[in-house]
Amino acid sequence: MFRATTTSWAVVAVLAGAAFAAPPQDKNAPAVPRDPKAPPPRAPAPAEAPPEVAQAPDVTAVSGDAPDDASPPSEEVIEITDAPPPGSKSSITRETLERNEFDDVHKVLGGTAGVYVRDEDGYGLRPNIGMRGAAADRSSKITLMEDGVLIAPAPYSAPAAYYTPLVTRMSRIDVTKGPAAIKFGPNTVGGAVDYIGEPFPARRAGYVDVGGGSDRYGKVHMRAAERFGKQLGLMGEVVKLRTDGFKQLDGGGDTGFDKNDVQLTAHYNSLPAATQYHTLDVRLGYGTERSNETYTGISDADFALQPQRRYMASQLDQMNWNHWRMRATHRLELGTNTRIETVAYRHRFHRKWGKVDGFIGQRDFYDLIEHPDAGANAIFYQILTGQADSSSPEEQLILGTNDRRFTSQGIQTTFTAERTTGSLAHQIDAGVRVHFDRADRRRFEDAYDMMAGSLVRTARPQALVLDSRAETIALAPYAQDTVRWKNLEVTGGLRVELIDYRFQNQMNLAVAGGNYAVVIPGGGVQYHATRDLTFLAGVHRGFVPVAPTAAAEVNPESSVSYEAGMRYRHARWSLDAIGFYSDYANLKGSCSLASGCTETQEGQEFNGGAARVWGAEAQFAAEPVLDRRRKVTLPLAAAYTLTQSEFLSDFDSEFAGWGRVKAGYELPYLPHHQLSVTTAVKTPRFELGAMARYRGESRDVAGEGDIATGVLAQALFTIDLTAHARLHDLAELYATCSNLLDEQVIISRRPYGARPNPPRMIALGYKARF
Amino acid sequence: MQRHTSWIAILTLAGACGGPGGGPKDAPDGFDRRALLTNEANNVILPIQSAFAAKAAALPGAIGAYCTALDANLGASPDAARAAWTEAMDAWQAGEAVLVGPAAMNKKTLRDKIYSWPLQSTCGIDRDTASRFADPASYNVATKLANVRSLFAIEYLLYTTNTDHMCAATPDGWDALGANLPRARCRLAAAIAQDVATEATALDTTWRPDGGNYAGELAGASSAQEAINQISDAMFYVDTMVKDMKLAEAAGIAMNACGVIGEPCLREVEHPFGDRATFAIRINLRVLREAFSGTTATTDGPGFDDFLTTLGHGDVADRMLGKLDAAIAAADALPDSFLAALANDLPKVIAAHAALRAFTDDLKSQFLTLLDLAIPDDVQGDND
Repeated sequence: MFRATTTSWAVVAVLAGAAFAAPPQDKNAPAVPRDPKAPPPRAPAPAEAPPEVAQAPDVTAVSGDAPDDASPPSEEVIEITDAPPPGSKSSITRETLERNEFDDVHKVLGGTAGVYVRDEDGYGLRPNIGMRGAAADRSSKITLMEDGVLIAPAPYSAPAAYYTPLVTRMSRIDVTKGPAAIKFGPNTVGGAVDYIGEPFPARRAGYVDVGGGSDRYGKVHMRAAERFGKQLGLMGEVVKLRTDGFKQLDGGGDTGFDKNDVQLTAHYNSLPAATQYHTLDVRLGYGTERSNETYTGISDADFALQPQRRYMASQLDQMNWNHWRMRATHRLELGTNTRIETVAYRHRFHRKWGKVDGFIGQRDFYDLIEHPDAGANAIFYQILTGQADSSSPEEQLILGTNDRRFTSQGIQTTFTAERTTGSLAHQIDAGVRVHFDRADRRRFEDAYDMMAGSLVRTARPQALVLDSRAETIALAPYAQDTVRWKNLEVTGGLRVELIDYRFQNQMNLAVAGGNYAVVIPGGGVQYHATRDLTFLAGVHRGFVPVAPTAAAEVNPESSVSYEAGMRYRHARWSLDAIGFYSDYANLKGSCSLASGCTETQEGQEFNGGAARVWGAEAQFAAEPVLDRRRKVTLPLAAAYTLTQSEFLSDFDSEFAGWGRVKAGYELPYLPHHQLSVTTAVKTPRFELGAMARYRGESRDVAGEGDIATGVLAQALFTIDLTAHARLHDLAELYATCSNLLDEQVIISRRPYGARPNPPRMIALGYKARF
Repeated sequence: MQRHTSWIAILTLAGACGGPGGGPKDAPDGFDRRALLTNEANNVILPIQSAFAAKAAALPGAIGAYCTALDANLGASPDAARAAWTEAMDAWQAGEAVLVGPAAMNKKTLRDKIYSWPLQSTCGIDRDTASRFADPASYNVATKLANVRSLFAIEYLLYTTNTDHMCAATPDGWDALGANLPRARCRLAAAIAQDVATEATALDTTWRPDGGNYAGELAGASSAQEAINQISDAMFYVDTMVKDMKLAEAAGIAMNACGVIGEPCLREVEHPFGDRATFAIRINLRVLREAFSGTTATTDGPGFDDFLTTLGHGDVADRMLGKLDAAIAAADALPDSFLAALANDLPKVIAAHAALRAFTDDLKSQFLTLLDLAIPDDVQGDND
């Protein structure tokens, strides 16, 4: 949450992630030039509070999401977040988002310690995000939110997040790990990612961003807001993104995507002098995507020759979806220290992804592409690549269309208050959410012959092979109190998830259901040794619910997660160093086609037994001033993650990526080392930035020791460059070059076969705001 | 839809972990698994491999003689060559029903070289027919995909008498074959037969005690239960291939390449040229019975029925044997010509399918459960 003023306790500038520290500021000076319409300021921070570190003045930055707190572009701007409770919270700020111009959330989060991504399509269309050992598959183990509201299509009933908000619409992305994650269930093993959209501005405002680049990449992003009097406002936003894609389809063809998004926000706020300050935002959004994406990768041998190749048989593969989001947010400020926020939301998501994922006689595409020369695979491989025609019924390709409809709706209230009792200062957070979601899954299969390089429908009629409905209703209250006494802060919190689920297989009318309750405690301690130095430790329970589609013997994912470390906040630089240890009582594997499971396994879940993941995260940020007179600074940021993992028992699993596991095996797709280093030379009119990232190798399936070539996800080192030239106070030109070295490696082997990271791409753009 | 009206007030740290089931066991339950493996390896499978090797060895000579006769007289009879193929094919159909070991390894690479059905490319065979005849040195069977070699290709080459090719576009050199087409087909068949004979000999050698002794390896496997699971996996051939493909898809009981339910689909028929599908089904089922019971015409050793009986499930063993015998009887009742059965006696095909399904239902359920065996991966998606 943003606040437009200092809070009564720790106030920390947004440094973590790839955010840059600010140049020195006068700590006694008012932090933020207040908008006259903003609610009254809160009490000043106590003397023991860590120093606040201000965000550098930046033409691209506009203040946070507090009501009516927007500042004119030319004014000094500061971003302040709630001081995090024990645990790791970081934010990717507007400045960072606009500097890098990433549309791919994988790239956005790639510079955040403790976050792992598994690339798939190269554009992050369907992100795979994990944290602290939580598997990255379709981000199903983390809590995904937009403006604090669950945004995955059906977070309880079908946790695989095939929808993700457009990064370009966002003003900030918050990443929460550790005990703080219990505020954002249901998934608490790894953490939460919260996309923070554009706050309603204080006055008439507009924004235009137009860009183009490699592979006919194009972006148009426009936003306009108008105020009607002092209390009403309306804001509209339109985004269009497109590309022809960087993959090269055998025989030619578009491998890119078109995404569109429109959003309308109506705003009401009380008069500034009101003692009870209300705001109401009603937001309606609609997004679409048509992407010529496939689940089919390529063999290692083909990758060595042409990493961006796509096999001819994937020529008809296409994802189409549309997404409705409706949200009404009411905020009530009661005095200076109490806030109540209530959100009612309803999201609908319909996706149809048709893609080749098997032959009549060979359903295992992963095996086929892993061993294209083995036995009969050689026949199927020739058809897959269009070198041979289908000549028998077994050689017909199956184009499976997963047709899914999701509904996610609910209402949630959060209460925040600050109270003092004697020498103790309390920060109280509480809330409750009633949530319902539903996933209707249907799968159709059509058979095609490969004939002279084209897919030709066969006489085999379309088959409906899956038709099911999963529903969940959940009641989730939580409460947390942070008690401050002198230099010590102690936080204790509790989340309860009451989950009622049901599942019906419409094919055989089988019904299953049940309900259960889970208590998720968490807490920690912070000790402010000095104004700059804080030591912290925390522990919380990690939990991921069981999907209604899972078999009865599958248990929820459950862990006890610990962290300990330090934060150092100096006016010129900051450093976070935190170690973590997650002790899993049961690791759960969730099957989706994206994770490499077969179509008959989709929705199934598997127990992985006990496991542990441990490691360390370090983040550093600074912005030394090179030339004070010319206002030249050198922002620096670095993030490093060390991760180790192991299963603690022997077992055989049908879950793709596990297989025959022995105690001591490492978890898949958890690189030991990740490092991101960002720097820039920044002046009031120009900025040149560079970002170097290294992601260590990881394994495609559980194992130990050296990673065999066939299951190796290779290490990747990339350098990205950015340049911004301010034409005047309201407009700028920018250019980006991602993957400057044009490094291409096998970044992933899921769902079926080797996949490359994107090659070097260049984009140019212009943006203006008023 | 089931309704839930109450919350379970279980407020607990759900640390429970339901660990996956334990692995296979060589449990001291009174059944001698090693004896079963020894009997299956030495008395059921090994004789089948040896018999096939002998029949396959005779095939090149028979086809070669036919080719020689064709060189002298384009009207020479293929009957002897076809008879040799029939014997070899029948011998291999016995092996198909219990495909364990080298032929089943490496994604059945060796099996597909010997017999590739249902993978088949008649167009590819036509291309090879023309190209090999024009330039014999250019043809190397070892480099060919499985769907243009094996006993299937030989069947196509020996039984096809018309001059049509099966490709969308006329293969290079096809028109030039003219009257030499029978000779070209025969020569390609001979080359492939030589390869099949070589592979058959290699396979037999790997099984024999005086060769690779795979039979001994199977019997002495470190985990007898896992080795038994290999054999039970092989027994599912009657489910996926015999019941589903040879009967259901061909007879239109299940959806097939023709896209029609209730009518036969000739594209799905095994041995469409030699019309040996009925014989193949009968052989498959008889060998399955031998594997299940451990009893052949000459020996009576421990089999899966004894395994069940020892574990106290003799009733299940008897019931399954009864159902299997009924399926064999239903197959015996089919006309020898499967094509004729599809055309004129479809109810008999449907009855044979139903009888076999009664057996495979038990095979997929109680059989696996009672003997603590895993279902083969490729049977997981079965919606029976």
